[in-house]
Amino acid sequence: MEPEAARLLAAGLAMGLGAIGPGIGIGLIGAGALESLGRNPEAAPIIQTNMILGIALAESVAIYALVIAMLLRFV
Amino acid sequence: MKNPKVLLIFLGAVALALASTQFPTPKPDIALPAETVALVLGFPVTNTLIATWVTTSILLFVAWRSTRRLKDVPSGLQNLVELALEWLLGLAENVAGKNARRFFPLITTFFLFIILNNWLGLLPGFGTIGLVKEPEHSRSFVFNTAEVGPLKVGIMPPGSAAEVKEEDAAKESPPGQIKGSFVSFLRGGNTSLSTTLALALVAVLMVEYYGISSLGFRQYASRFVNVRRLLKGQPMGLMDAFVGFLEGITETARIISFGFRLFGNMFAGEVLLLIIPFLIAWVVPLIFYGLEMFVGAIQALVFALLTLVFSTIAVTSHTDGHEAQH
Repeated sequence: MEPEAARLLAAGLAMGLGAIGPGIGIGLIGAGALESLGRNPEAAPIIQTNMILGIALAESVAIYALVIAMLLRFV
Repeated sequence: MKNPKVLLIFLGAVALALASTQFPTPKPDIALPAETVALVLGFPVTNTLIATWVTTSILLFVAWRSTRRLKDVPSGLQNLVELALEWLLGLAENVAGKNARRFFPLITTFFLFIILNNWLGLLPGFGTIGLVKEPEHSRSFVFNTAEVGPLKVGIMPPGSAAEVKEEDAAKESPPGQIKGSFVSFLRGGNTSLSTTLALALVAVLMVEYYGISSLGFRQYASRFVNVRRLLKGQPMGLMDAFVGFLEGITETARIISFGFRLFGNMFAGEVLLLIIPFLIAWVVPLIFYGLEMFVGAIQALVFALLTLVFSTIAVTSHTDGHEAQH
């Protein structure tokens, strides 16, 4: 396989596979947040703040994969 | 049909979006490293650096202007700034409790700097006004030029006329046209890994500083070099030492994590905002603009909050933390 084709394939695989984990993770965080919101609606601001924090941390792993994919594609 | 006007507007938007396929835009030239605009005394000045200067000037101006004649009952700019700072202080006190005031200057600076950098990068003019240079590594475009006084001003022709066709690549361009690669004067500050890594380095070093100044060097270092039980001869001390070593690795990895999270989000957003208009020129990019505004704000908040959280952990000594749990 030529290097160019391999690079494009690698870029696609990097982002695709790298988004599975964070996707599931963010879904779990959201589910936990929504459940605790249903149990305790008064704590909404605290739950929301912590949920955003958790989602950003989980998403950063997907961003690492995106950076690798972009490096492969454009550099 | 409840409200026919809404349907009409929606259909109009779809029609516009479909019509834009008749007016193609050139394929964007995406550069990962920040491009040098000029060399000042041998130092390369990049477009992200200039954007960061703009952000800093705006922040300094607002800070100076709103604190000139402080009133007890604020109004005008002072009122607006106090509103924003009170909201942030409330958030910080929720997370950090009594330490919030101590960390507040640092995290507010991070938040305001990053959010202003991100949002300024969305303004028209950022990425669109710049210099035409000899094509080096990036793709070249065609520009229609005109002489305006001493300056030579060029405009990219609309659509695919801006692309350099294969057979024209080596030829001389006709008068009134030049070929070259484009370097904009301004580009969102956080799209450069330099900026974000610098912010991450400052954040992590300040966290260490807060820890050492709160707990003293020996107690804070004992979090990472935990050999007390090992030196007493207990084999379980090996696990303590290993955990301490892992903590050290985690702290160092935070620099990379902070830097790449912000860089990745902002650079990916910029690439998205370049590619989407290439695919559909009208109507649809608005949605992604909204997304980018949201992401820019969230990333600023996350950076500031994470710094706050890690600072709070750093100034909490081991024994205090354990007592609070039991």
